[in-house]
Amino acid sequence: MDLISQGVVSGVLFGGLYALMSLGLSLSWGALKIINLAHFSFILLSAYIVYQLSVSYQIDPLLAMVVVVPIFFVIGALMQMFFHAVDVDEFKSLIITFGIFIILQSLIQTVWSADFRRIGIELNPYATQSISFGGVAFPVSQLIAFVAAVLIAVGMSLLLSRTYFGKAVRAVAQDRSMARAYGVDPRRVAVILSGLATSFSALAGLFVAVGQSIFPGLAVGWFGIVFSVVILGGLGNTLGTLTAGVVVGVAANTASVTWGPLSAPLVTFLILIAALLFRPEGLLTRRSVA
Amino acid sequence: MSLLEVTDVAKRFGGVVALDGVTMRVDEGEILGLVGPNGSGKSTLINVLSGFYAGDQGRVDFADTDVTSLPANQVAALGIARTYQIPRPFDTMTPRENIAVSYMFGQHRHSLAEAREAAGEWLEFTGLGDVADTGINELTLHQLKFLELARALATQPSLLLLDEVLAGLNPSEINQSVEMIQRVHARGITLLIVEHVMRAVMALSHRIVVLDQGKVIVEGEPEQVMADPAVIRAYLGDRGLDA
Amino acid sequence: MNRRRRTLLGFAAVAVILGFFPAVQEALDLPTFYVIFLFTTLFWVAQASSWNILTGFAGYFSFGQGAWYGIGVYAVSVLVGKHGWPFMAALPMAGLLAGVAGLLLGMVVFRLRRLSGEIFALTTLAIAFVLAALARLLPAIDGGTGIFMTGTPLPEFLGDFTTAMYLLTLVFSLLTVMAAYLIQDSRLGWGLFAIRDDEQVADGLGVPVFRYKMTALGANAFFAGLMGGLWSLRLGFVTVDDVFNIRVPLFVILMSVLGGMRHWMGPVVGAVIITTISDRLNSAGLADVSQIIIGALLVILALAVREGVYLRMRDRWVTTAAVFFGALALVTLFDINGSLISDFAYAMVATTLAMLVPSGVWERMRANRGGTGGDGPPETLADDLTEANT
Repeated sequence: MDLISQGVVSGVLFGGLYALMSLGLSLSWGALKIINLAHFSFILLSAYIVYQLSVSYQIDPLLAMVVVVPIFFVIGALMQMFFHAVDVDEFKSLIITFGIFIILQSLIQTVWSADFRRIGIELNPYATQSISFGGVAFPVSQLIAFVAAVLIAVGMSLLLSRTYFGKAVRAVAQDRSMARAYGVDPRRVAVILSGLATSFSALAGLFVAVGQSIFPGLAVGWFGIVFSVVILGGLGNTLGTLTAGVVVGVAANTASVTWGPLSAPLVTFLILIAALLFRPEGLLTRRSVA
Repeated sequence: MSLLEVTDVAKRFGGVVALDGVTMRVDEGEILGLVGPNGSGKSTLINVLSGFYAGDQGRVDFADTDVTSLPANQVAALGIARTYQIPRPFDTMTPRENIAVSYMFGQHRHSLAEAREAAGEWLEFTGLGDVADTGINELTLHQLKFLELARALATQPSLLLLDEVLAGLNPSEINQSVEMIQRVHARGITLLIVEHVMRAVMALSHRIVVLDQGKVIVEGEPEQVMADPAVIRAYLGDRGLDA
Repeated sequence: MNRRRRTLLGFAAVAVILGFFPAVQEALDLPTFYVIFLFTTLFWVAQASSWNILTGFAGYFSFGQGAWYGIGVYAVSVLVGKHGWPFMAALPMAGLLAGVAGLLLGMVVFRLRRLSGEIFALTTLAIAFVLAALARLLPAIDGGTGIFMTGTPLPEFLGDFTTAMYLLTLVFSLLTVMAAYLIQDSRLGWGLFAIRDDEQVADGLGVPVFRYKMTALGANAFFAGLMGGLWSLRLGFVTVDDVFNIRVPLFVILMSVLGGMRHWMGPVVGAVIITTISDRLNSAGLADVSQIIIGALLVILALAVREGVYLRMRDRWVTTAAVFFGALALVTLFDINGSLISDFAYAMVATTLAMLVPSGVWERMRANRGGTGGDGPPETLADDLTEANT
């Protein structure tokens, strides 16, 4: 019994991180119609920067938030401005972001080599601490990531539904020219949104660095998880993404515990395929009219 | 003799009822005008007839064949062609190639070689000979519409559905298009034209069917139909009769 | 048909010339490396060409090349390495299994009511990962231990291992490229182009879209799998990581984008250029950097090159020939690097750049003059149709 509940709890906690990793791509795809594959490398890069900051300047990885989030916000904003300048269609944006992903990942490998890197325990007590509750262990690093994910997902959801900016984003996502007619500057909205999306990815990368050893090949391993969470959760649907993250987390973790770790990617990708084929608009998104 | 029989066709999209039991027919050799206020379901009907949407209920018979649930390419193979309100040419191909592709498929299969020859005929017919080999992005709207027409004609249809082919044209272009439509008809093709430009509809149609809110409200000879109070009410609302 | 006969003759000529190369290599006592380099290039020519049939011709972007290739590699490896099949018998199975897998995918995915390009692309990506996971998981396939293919006996008449690999690769890549050519120059090809441009309209004109898409996908998967099956020998020790990685799907995209996706020669030219440059970078010890360069190339090409270099080379063939042979002469004269392949590499780079730069300038000029950004009439297929009229 304990093993199962531990598996579920771990799955839920991991799910938070998965959701955080997927939010950036989901928002970008849903609101900006760009499938930004570079997000995977942003997560990775952020993880490495956090690692490096701890090694070179002894900065507490959680504090590193203050550094990476603004940096990646700017990167995201610049990226969107770049897309505005070159005006590509979806197909080309897929190729271009794929190329950027390759470049960044190779750069990371060139700079940091393919060896595993881990933030030292002195600076990263979170990695080993754990809170016990009801016979189940809640590893601190995962717990923090989960809480952060919930806060951000809920916060973003409120932002999108209650604030003027949120309404502007939704307007731009639905009909650019109409939004412009109502005084919204689609470009500015897109740039800010892209910055936000990238900072979420940066944050996810931070938690990755806190929670495990990192190596360049990690990024490709995230494809399955992130895409299944993104599709299952519904493009641009923040709460849906959070829910989907938890679902995928629990499914993958349960599979891992039951059939071994190799079964986890299998389960994740099967979820993705099922979602793509049968409910591409996501679990929580209501089917739109025609 | 009726070429196309539409019986009680309905189509809804989520909560919106686009077609609410449409029954009508198109007789062989005629030009049928399909009119109605915006949102009355004209385009949806065209999409159902050409096989793009499957109706939720009802039946469509074409030349004594039940085409109700056939996919679009099989409907085309039987001899129904359509044009699009906003022209949709194949934009990596030239006009000549557009027509050639169309000729290769459609009602009768043709080879690549035959298509090269035949395309010229349709280019001449629609007056696009001069721009046959230029890029699509260099054509005017009027030319694009003619290309749309030529492409549909190249499938050698027996029934051609024209979806607002006059929209966006200036008066002289409209006159040219009306003349073109008459020439098409003279070749023995039955036409169903969806149009807003009333004078063209009146000039061309043998019969008119009026749709409103997904239903046929009136059908008959042009003068009769357009004078019918129900039709005026549909277009102008109840106030119209007082004006 | 004049054009058709000319092209087929061209294929025959290439087959003969390339076919005799191993004999030439032996006679002139050239390094074996040249043979290996050539058949590696031919491998990529086949992979890129097969990929382009679906993505370039039909417009359905596929991230799944690794899936078909992987099925091919493992089909042969399992049949030969675990069940003792003779290699030549297992080869066709590689193509068949991959082809069937592709058709199965198509049956599900092409029947969906709302299939967008992105969903298709992601599904192909997912398939590749699922297959990799399955291969790792199931001992019947791999189970993590890998399969030894070195020392697999080949028919005697093919000669030694390198020659045998070369001849087989030559045959398969010729078949693949010929298939791409025959498809392009047929009703099927035109139907695919129409589907690419506007599938709904094509459907409405009578193009049997489902059947054609299945054909393109099936052809893609079959030829990718066939070449993959052969490549199991080249890999020697077949492991999941070596087979199901990003290399194959990435390179075919790069090569086809560079060479041009609207013409069957595009992937061929792209494959030759990329393989040559990549080989030179690797031998210069710049393997890591080469990955970065590849990523950068992909971005630049996607931005700058609309139709791929092949069509541009064909239209500006005088410039192409001049730059290529000029650069080749310069490099050979000054003997910048001993290797012949390096000489060709430099010449190719020079020619490619010559093709890229003017177009960028040309497009900017057009944009400034208020043009709609197109490159003029599509250069691809007009010849076939206008030839008959001149």
